Amino acid sequence: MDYPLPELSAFRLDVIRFVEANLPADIAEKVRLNIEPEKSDLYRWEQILNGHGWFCGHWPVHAGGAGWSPLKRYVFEQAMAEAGAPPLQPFGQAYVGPVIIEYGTDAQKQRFLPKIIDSTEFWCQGYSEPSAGSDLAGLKLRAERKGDHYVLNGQKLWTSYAHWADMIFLLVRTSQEDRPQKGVSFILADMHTPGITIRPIITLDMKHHVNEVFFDNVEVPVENLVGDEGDGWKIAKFLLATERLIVAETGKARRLLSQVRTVAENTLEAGKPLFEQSAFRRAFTEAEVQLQTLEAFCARQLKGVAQGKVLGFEASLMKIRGSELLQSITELGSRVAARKGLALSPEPLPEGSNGEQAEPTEASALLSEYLFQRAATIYGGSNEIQHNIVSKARFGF
Amino acid sequence: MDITDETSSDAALLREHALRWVEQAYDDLHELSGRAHPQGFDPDIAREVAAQGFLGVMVPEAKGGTGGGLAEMAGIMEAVGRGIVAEPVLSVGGIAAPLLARLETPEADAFLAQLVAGESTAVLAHYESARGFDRSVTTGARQDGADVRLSGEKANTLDLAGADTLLVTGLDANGRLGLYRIDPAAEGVTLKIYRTVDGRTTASLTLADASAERLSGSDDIAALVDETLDAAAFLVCAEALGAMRYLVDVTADYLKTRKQFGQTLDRFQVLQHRIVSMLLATEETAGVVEAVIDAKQPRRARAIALCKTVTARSARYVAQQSVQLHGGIGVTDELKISRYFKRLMMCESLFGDEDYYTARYEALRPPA
Repeated sequence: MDYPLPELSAFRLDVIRFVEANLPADIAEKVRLNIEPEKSDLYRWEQILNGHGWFCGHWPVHAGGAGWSPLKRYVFEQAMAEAGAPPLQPFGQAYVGPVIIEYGTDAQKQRFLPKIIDSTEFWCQGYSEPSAGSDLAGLKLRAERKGDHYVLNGQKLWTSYAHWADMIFLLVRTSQEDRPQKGVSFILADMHTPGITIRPIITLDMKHHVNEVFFDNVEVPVENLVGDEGDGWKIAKFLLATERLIVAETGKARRLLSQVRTVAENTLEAGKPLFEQSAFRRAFTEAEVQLQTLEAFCARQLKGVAQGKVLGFEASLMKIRGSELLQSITELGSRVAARKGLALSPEPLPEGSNGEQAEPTEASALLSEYLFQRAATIYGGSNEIQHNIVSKARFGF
Repeated sequence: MDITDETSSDAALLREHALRWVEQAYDDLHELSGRAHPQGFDPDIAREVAAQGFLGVMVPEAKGGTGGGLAEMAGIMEAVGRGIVAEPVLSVGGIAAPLLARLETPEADAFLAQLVAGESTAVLAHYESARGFDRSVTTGARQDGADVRLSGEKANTLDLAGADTLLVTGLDANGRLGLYRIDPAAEGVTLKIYRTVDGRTTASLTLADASAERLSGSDDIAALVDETLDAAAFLVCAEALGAMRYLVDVTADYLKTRKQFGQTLDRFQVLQHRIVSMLLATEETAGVVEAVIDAKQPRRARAIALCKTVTARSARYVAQQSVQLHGGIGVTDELKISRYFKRLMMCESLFGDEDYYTARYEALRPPA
């Protein structure tokens, strides 16, 4: 594909070549078969990228990054996904890192940033709560100041990879105000502090990505507050703005569509490859049209960003189409998997079974991805909410 | 259109009975039976299912059943769908038993009684891996003195992990399709059992000169197998209908209770409209299911092709939207609706998906 700026197209090819040459084969295989990488796999890959100066490339040079523009970072992320690299966990390098760089004290920068860059500390994000989903301002987790500490009580929900995390950044309520957005603060807590309990949540794809995290009188030193009390909403919005460009995962969509093609070519229907069947081919072509449309739409937004435009509701439009596209591509994948009886490889046979465990295949990988992508139109603000955001921002409704 | 005849009141009673049984006896614990057992279902509950008479509904009274047809079985399958019953009601009661009953051979009849009583579990192995949803077969049956031996590869054999008997289709030397009984533990039979997305099981098997007993007579049974697979596809639609009705009910309840932005979700117009679309898809399914029961031969096969096309589409829509409307909680394995979502994926594609039945609907168009 061609990006609006030639140097970006060249960078895309550099990234793809780098992944092909340097991604360890065992990790590449896990991505291909949609097997959850281990934490050590991710660290291994992050350290390879860091050796090349690419792991935190979007950080400013003074903070240890390469000072990439948002565009360059976007191209990097999409090319990585397209080439089949595992998705980088965003919580450290993409989320809390830039927040600490922007709002953190010198002591916080020295304490936390080096361990993000060299992959020795894993972060998770404590935003959602049982009553604060799409309506994040409804969060209730209390942080009460007591001497040198805040004492945290409450619960977070959908906390991705809390079970791997050494640290968590949280939105907490430090005071009750007239508007729910006020009185919210941004704080960093050590996951090994007494009083933190993690309960796994298994999702549709039968994997353990997310958790409930309970806080029972958890003491967090006051020096872990980022910014001032009540700055939480402002910081959350800053974090969101840095993420705006990455909402449409076109690189991943490209890889998945090409995988759908491979499995459909290798699956027979009445003795002929499924890919040659007219109804299937038509649906495949339709998905490809949707993908290229989204790429064109994103490229047009990128030109605006290159000229200094700040994306607003357009990010919601990209999120709506991006999530729909991942769902339709993986739904196509599930149609191939249906020819194999919808066998789901991560689900083990119980003890005493006389059968062999089904080995993971690219078809079961796509089926698993289909199940996972049902969440794409829910997380990060459901698509219904995204429509509301756009109607308000664009038309004033 | 045909006016519903008197047998449908029996069907209605049976449907009520099955719905009550599912609600009372088949509680949340049982709902987990698929995943908890290597068979993909609970053998104790499978015996209870037989005791309820669900397996002999489509078997004539003279052969130990209750002499019903698709109408009666559809009511039971709707209850099976509503309660997400994992036991092999479809594979035995809707497929194996009625198929054996229609073979009209002493060998088939002798085995049928055990099946209806739940003393034996037999499953049909027909589809082949290189054929996808296509119904033609290449498995061959070779006469070896007094014995018959089968060779070939079969795929997508439901519930095989909990079965003691295989009913395998194969072509004899004259190209006639027959039905053969094979012991899954026999020499020359290699099984590969897979856990399906809904926690039940499917299997592929390789037959290499496996010893078999012929159950069908000397006639070709291709037309009978075709009707059996049509009936199976239809019964899956009735099952999907039960699951869809459940999802519409629980999703509406959830919208009334879940609060975001200071109000319950049922105040959001986009969600009001969405659940009406779910209802519409569900009731359209109810319509095409009944149309199959009303359809007389030779129009029934085409009515089934239409029914499965519409049901596959509706099942996908209702399943996806009930997850969407539940939000984050909808994508957790813990919540029951995620299991309905997965069962409806199975219903959507078992015995052929939307593409397959759209093409079949077109192929069965009567001459102008």
